[in-house]
Amino acid sequence: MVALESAPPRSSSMETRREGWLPPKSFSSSAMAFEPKCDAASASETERVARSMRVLVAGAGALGCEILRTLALYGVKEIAVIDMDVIEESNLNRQSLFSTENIGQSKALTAAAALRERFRDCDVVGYHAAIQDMPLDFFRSFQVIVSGLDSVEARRWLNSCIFHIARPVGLESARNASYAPVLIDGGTEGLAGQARTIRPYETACIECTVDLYANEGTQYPLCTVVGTPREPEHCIEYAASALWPSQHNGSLGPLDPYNAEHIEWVYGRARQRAEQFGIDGVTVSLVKHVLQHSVPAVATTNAFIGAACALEVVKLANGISHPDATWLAFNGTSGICIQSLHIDRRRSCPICGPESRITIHMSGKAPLRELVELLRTHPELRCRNPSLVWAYRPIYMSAPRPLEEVTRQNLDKPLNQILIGNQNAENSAEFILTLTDSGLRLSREMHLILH
Amino acid sequence: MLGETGPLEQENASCNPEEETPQARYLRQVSIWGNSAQRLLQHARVAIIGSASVGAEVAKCLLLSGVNDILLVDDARTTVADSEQNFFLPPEAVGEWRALALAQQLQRLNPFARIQARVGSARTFAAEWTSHQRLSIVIVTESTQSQVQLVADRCWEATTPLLILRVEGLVGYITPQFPEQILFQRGQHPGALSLDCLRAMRLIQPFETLTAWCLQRFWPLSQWDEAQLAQIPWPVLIVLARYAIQDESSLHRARTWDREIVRTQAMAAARRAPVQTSERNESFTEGFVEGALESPQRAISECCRVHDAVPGDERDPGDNTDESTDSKLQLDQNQRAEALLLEEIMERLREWQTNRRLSNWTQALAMLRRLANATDRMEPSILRFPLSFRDETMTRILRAIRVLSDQRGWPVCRELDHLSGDAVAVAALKRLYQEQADRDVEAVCEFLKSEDIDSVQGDLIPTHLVRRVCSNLFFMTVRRTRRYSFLNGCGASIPSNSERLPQARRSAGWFLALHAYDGYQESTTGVQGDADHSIGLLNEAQRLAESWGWSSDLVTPDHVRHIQQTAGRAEPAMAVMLGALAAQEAIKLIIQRFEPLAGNFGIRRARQYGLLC
Ligand SMILES: [Zn+2]
Repeated sequence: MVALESAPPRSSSMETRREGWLPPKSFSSSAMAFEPKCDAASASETERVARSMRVLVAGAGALGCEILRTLALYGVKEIAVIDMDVIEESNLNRQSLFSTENIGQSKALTAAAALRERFRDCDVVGYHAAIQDMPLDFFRSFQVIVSGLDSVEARRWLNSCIFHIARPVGLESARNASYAPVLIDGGTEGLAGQARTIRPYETACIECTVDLYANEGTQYPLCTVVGTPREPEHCIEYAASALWPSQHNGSLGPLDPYNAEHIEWVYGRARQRAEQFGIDGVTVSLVKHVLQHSVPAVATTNAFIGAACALEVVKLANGISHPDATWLAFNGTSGICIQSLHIDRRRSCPICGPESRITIHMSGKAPLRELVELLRTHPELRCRNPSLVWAYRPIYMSAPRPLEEVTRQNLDKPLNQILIGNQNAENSAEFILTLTDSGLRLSREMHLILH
Repeated sequence: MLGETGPLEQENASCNPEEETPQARYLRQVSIWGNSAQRLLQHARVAIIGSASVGAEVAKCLLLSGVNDILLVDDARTTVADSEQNFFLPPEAVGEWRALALAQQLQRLNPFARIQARVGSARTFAAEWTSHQRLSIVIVTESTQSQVQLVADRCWEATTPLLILRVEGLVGYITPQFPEQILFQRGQHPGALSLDCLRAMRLIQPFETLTAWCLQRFWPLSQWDEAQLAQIPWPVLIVLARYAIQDESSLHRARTWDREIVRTQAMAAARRAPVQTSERNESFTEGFVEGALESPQRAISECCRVHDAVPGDERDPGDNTDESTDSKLQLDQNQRAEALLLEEIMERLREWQTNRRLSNWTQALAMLRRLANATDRMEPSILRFPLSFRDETMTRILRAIRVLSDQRGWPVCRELDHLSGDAVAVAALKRLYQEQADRDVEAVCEFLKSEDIDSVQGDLIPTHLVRRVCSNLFFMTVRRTRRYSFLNGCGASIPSNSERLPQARRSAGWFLALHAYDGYQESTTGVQGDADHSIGLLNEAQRLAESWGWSSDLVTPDHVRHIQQTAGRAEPAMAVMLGALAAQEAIKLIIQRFEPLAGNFGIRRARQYGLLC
C-alpha cells in the first residue's frame, strides 16, 4: 500500500482510476506545480495568501513550538494553539519556546505569549484545553489544522473531527463544498519522523492507515522484565505491571501514571528490585518517563518535522503542494533519509472509505454486552465508548452518565429481545443501527444480522 | 579566543560521579543514545561560522540537546531583514553585531551553556584557531568559497570534523568532511544479538574464571533433570562443550597442540603488523574513499583489500615480503582451525541434545552456526582499518590491546544482552563478565604505563577511555569522507550506482547551480532576475561542471532560473530543516554513534531528495 517513490506521477495514482471517488478539490487543485518555474513566479501574491490564512496548531510540544515559530516567520498572522499539558523539565531538551522558569505553566499559553513577544503583529491565541473539549465550530473556523500531537488516540479524534466538518450532510455536498479543511499531521520518534497532509476524501486519512501506528503498549519484553532485568526501566516496568495489580487487588484502581502517589509507590518497589539485581539509575523522573510511555524525542528531528509541516501549510496556501506524495518520511539513524510517499486510501476505512458500511453477524441469543465488547475489539473499529441507537431509540449509551445508567440494564438482555424485527424472516433478521463513539467522534451505519 | 582545555582534561571532567544519573532535562534523548553519549555531548565544543538563520537554527538544536560550549563567529551587524528571517534576532537587535546578539538570545535555551561570540569572518577563525585548542566539530553556514576552503583545510589537518551547509531559497546542501571518525556502534541495533556481540562474549576462547564457574556450577550435566537443563543459559552450554572437547586430551592432544602452534605463529605475525599509524597511510586513505561514499559495507571490504595489498616492506620496514605472505597463510590456517573447533563444539552439543528439544540448546547451536558462517576473521574489525590517527592515545590503546590479546584473548564485552534462563545463573554470569572486563581494562592500562614512549605518558591515558575502547572493541568502526576541495567538486561525485542515479543527477544540478551562483555573486553584483546574468550563471555552472569532470547537462536553465528567483528570499522552513539536519549530523559525530552522513546531501523543498556521493 505504500509506494516507495520520491514523487510518483499523478497518473499512477489508484485514486484517479476509481470511479465515484472525488476529484481533488482544495487549495491544491491547481497543484501540479512541482516544477521550478512556478515557484517564485508571483512571490508577493502567494505570500499574501499565506498571511491571510487562519491556522490551528494542535499540540504545543516540540513539534508545536517549531510549527508555530516557522509559521510566524512566514508571516502567518492568525494562529491558534491548543494544548492541555503543562511544561515539564524533560520537555526542555527540544521545546524551543520554553525555558526553565516556565516549568509548570501551560504549554499553549506560554508558547502563544513567547510568539507574541517576538512578533508584535502576530495574532496568536493560546487555549489551555484538550482538543476533545472544543466545539466543532471552533475547528470550522480554520482553513488548516496542523497537528503535533503525541498520541494515536488524539490523532484519530482530530481526524474524524476534520471529516465531520468537511461532511456536513454527505459525500455529495462535500464534493461541492467550498470549504474543505486540511489536516497536516506530524509525528516523531527518536531520530525518525513523518509529516503528512490529509485532504478529506482525496488522500489517505489517519484512520486509513491506523495499523501503521505502533501499539501504545508496553515497550519492554515481558520475559526480560520478569526474569532478567538489565536496565532500570525493566525494574520500573516490573513494579508497575507485575507488582501493582497483584498487591492492590484493585483497591486503588488501575495505575495512574500521572498520580504522584502511584508514582511514588512504583518508585519504591522499583528501587528494591533494582537493588536485588544490582542495577543503578532508578529515579522518580525515570519512573514517570516509563509509566507515561514517553517516546524518545530529540530537538533535531522535531525541528525538521515541525518545519516540514509549516512548509506544507505554506505550499498549500500557494497551491504548490504535491498532489500525490503527501507523506514525508524521515529517518536520521543512518545518514539522512527523506522520502516522499504516496499512500492509497483504504476502501474499508470507517471514516473516509466508500465501503465503510459495517456488517456484523451474531446469534440472537447473545447478550448486548457481547456486541458492545465486539465493537471495542473489532479490528477496524476499535471503539472506545460505543453507543447504539436503533429506530431512534437508544439501545446502549456509554455517555452521558444518566443515559448510561438507564441503558445499562439492556447489556444482559439477549439481542433478539431488544431488537424485535421482521417476524417473517425464518433464520435471520437484519437491523440497521447507528453506531456512535464519543471517544472517537465516530458515527456509522451498522448492519446487524441476527441468526 | 578559544579556551585552552585539552581533550584529556575534558574527559576527566566527564568522570564526575554526580553526572552518572540521567538528568531530567535530557531523559527523553538519553533513552536513544545513553548516558555516556550525553556526557560527550555536554563536554563538546562546537564552532559555528555564520549567525544568519541557518547558523542560529543549528546552534539552537545543539544547545537544546545539551552542548554546553559554543563559539559563534560572524562579522555582520543585524539588519531589519535578519530580524524578519531569524527567529533569534528580534527587532531590538537591529544594528548590533549578529554574533553578540545571537549569543545573548540563545542563552535562554540552555542556562548551563557558555556561548561565546567572535566578531570576525571564517578567515579570522582559521587564523586564530590553533591546533591545541580542541574543537569537537566546526560548522560553516555562510562564507565565501575561498574562506570555506581555508577552514576545510585547517579542519582536515586538525582531524576535526566539519560540516558545510548552505541554504538559498528552497535549495540547500550539507557537505561533511572528516578524515577519520571512530564510531562506537553499540546501541545502534538494540534487540539484535549481532555477530560482533557474539564474538565479544568470547565463548570459543573462554577466560579462566568463566570456564571454572561453568564447571563448578553445572558440570556434569547428567546431574540435572530436563526442566533444570532448560534453565541453563545458552553460553554455558558452549563453554562446557568446549571444555569437554579439550578434556579428551589423550585422543586430541596432537591436534590441539597443532592448533596452538598455528595460533602462536599467527599472533607473532600480528605483533609484527600492529595497528597502522602515521602519515604513510594517507595514500591509501585516498584510494578507499571512493567506496566509503558508496556504501559502508563496500568501504570496509575495499579498505581491507587495499590494506592487504600493501606490500610487506611498506607495512613494516623490518619485514620482507615473503614473511608477510607467510603470516597471511598462517592467519588463514588459524581461521581454518577456528572453523574446525566450532564444528567440534556443535557436534558435541548435538550429541548431548539427543531426544531433547530445548530452546537454550537450539540457541547455542544457532549462535555457533552464525560464528561458523561468518566470512571474516574473528578479530575486531577496528584493528583491520589502516588508521592514521593524530590522536595517538587511541592508537596506543588499540596497539596495547592487540599485543595483550596473545596472552589473554580479546577484551570481553561488559554488557550481556538477551540472556534467558535461571535468573541467578544469568546474574552470576553477568558479574563474571563485568569482573573480566575490569581485569582486561586494568591489564591494558598497566601495559600502557609500562610502555616506554615519550610522546604521551602512559599514565596520562584516561582509564575510562580504555574502558570505552575495550568494551566496544568489537563494535567499533571507522568512517571517512573525502577531503573537501572546491576545485575538485567539493569532495562530491556522481554515483555510478544506477538505482540512485536520477535523484543524484537532480541534486547535482542544484548543487552546481548554487555553487555557480555563489561564485558568480562574489565576482559580480546584483544577479537577481536579469536575463544577461541568467546566461552568465548558466555558463558559470557549466564551466564548474566541466572543471569537476561532471557532465555539463546536469545543470539546466530551469535550475539557474529558480536559483535566481529564489535567492535572497527568506524560506524560514528551509533554514530550520537544514539547520536541524546539520545539528543531527554534528551530534552523531560528537557522540560517535549512529551512521553519519558521509557524502553530500542535497535537499530541495523537502520533497525531493538526493544524495550526491
Ligand atoms: Zn480514511
